[in-house]
Amino acid sequence: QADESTTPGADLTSAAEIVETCAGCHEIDGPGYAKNPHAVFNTDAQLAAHYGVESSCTACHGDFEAHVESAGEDGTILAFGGDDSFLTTIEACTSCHADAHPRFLATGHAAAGVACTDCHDIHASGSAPGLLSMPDEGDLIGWDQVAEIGAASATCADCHSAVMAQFDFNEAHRLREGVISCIDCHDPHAPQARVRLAAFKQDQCTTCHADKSGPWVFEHGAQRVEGCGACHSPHGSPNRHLLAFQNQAELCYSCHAAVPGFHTRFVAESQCTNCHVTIHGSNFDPAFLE
Amino acid sequence: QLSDSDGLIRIGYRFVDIDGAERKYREDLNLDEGARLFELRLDATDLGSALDRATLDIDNYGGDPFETLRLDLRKHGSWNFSYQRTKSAYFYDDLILPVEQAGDPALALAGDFHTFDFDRVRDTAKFGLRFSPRAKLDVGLERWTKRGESTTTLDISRDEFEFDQPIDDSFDQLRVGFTYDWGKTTLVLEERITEQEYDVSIFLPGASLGEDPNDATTLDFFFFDRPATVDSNTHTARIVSRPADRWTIRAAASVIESELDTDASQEGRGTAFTGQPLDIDIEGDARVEYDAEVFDFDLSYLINERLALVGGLRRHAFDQQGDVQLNVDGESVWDVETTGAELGLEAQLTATVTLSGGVRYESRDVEHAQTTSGPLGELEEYSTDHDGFWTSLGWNASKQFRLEVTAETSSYDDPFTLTSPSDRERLRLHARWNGDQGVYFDAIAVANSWENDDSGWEADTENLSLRAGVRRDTFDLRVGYTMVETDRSIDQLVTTLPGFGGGQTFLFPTLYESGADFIDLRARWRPNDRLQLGADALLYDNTGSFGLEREDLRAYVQVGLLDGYLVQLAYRTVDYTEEAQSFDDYEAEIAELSVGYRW
Repeated sequence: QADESTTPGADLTSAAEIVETCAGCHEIDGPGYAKNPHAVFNTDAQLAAHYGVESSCTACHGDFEAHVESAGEDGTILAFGGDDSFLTTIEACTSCHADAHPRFLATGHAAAGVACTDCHDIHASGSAPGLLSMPDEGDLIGWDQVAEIGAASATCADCHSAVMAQFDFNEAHRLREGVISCIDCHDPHAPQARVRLAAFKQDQCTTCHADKSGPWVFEHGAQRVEGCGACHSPHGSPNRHLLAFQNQAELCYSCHAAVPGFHTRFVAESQCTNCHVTIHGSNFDPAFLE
Repeated sequence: QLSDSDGLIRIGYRFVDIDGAERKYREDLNLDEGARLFELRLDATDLGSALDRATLDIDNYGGDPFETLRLDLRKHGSWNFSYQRTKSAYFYDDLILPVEQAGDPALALAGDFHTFDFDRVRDTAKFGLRFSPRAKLDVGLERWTKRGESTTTLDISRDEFEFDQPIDDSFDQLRVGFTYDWGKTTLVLEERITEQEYDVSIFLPGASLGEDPNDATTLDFFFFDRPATVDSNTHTARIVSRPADRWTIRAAASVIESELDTDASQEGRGTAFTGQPLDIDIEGDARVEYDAEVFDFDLSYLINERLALVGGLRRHAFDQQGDVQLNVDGESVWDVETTGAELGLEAQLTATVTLSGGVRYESRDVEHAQTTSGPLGELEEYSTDHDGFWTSLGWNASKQFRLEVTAETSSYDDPFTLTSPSDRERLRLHARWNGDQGVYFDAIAVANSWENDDSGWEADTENLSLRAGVRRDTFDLRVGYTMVETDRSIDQLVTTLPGFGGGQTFLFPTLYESGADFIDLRARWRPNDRLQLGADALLYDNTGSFGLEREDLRAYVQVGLLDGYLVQLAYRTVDYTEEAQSFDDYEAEIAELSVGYRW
């Protein structure tokens, strides 16, 4: 409970004084919070001026007078939980972070009622980028999940374990080895629809696989229009090269219903890419033979 | 002066013993024996007035296939710098068929003649400087290289020949962004300059009779050089505005210009399939240019504390032209225009229930033509319309239990390929219970189905994940089961084109099935401050079109010594077996002994 010296009515003019008032009841200045950028901003007059708020607890949690007057009654302050709407939480965060994540409300995350604080611990002291609330491994080291896959992927795995298991297929992107993370391909703050638009669907992949990006005089139409996912399973697959089929001919014949007559002499297990070697695109041959 | 820092360094030696198909082990794990820096962690704060925080993470340095280094320096609200380097090594030498079968002329093409052994190194550096409360400069540099060895094949005079193809690719990108903030409105201007270089050459390592030694075709030597460069520029302007409380508007426009140039030459001598001398000596070049325009507009409006409106409008245009003069005089055109819109509502219905839903629409027009002789013909047109609906329901039944259901359905008119969906459905359920004292249960079920009404293509994926765990001060135990079932099928009636063997039809039925079961277990026990024990198990079983099993078991013990020093012993065994053949099977045992210091 707040004592009389910190009850409303006092002339609170600085962020430090507001923090002190809150600290009367809440443990907000433990060994960790002092390292938190939100805490640092409390003392940064330039940032406070920039965002147009007196940066302190009230900048996120709202006016605290009713909260203090009611001796901390539920519902008298934005608590980022309980009865608070997930929309209110998102609005509180994006009122400062709109530049970085202006489209968050249009994401599948927001649509599922996931708010910023479900992934980010805004009071955290850890060194995880973006204050991610990854599963806390404490002092455990060695073959630890977080150490291996990175903070971002560990945070995603907390809700997307079904996807994470696909990286355990015998063929998979090297997420388990820490070479990539979920956010190298997926932007959790952006609508998914954009990456599905034709002619750009391969952009997420060619960031790393630039040698498959072309452009080529003779494009593989499936890749150009439908993207890499037309043939590959991006997270993982039992099949070589993350292909949708182990038998390459089955993959190719799924789309190609017309072939030159001499193809009838090839067995069903044939590797089409033994001849069609530049299957992603070619500058010299429309059949991708060279 | 590091006034507040903590960290860890751990170095040691890895022992490796492989029994069975070493090339398959190299494809999967590729861990070699030798000394390593297993991990280095540094987190420092209160570094003076110019720096608030410095973090450094290094994993697996000294010859491992996957090495990472991440450095992050920041002065909150003033500047930040990050550098990341990842090296990943990839190896592929898959026989697919046993040697004795791959040598059978009838199955000659069923083996995979491609192999590779290369390193991909990616360096990324980012620097951000807020030089006034309203203005910020961001600079990013990215360098990406792919270097190593590979083999490929080419069809020369009706026979296949296997060639060496060294890999030497690079990608460099400079990104400069300027941000200015007026308070309610932020403008971002960004330029990206990208250069890609591919030093591609193919050569015969020696005289060859080709894959079919019974035909007349032979090669004494063969070179095919085709180095290529791609230069791209991207100009982007982006505005984010909050004209009033609860409103957020974002508009972005990008123009991308890209150009590929390549000069090619082919030289070869040998015998053609007719028995006549074969003499190849050609030169030529190819050039491809494209322009792309991308426009995105998004808005969100918080109607009240419990209801939000979201929407978006997108338009992309892609125009590409290419031409080549080598053994063909070719030309091609691709024009792809896509317009899409989304509109949805998100609501906090009650204190415990959230509901959202929305619609999507997308219209796509593709025009394409190509020729290898003579003028470009009339453009072929493909138009696709896409309607979609999504909804999501969340229920926080209590502080401990949450249930989430998401459903999507889409319909496409005239899909582009025979395996592009005309209908798509997705359903996801997620339930989680967080009990007292660190106990939790988590269940996820996902069902996806695609079908193409025109071709009869069907694809289904069902995914189930069940997880449970308990965490206490001294131990952490997690166990999970995941099932991934995949079916893809089409009865394709294939027609042969006019010409040799033309005018026939044959049925090529395809039924791909994959049933994967994963069981994982993770246990950590720390009986006292000096001792840690850990064990992991991952059991993987794949049935269907490609049956295999893999057991991956790991354990470690770590003992803390005086003054922060520690010693760790770790052991791992991997047992991989394929159902149909045994030539890819292997067993690997890996032991690591390391010492470290924690501060």
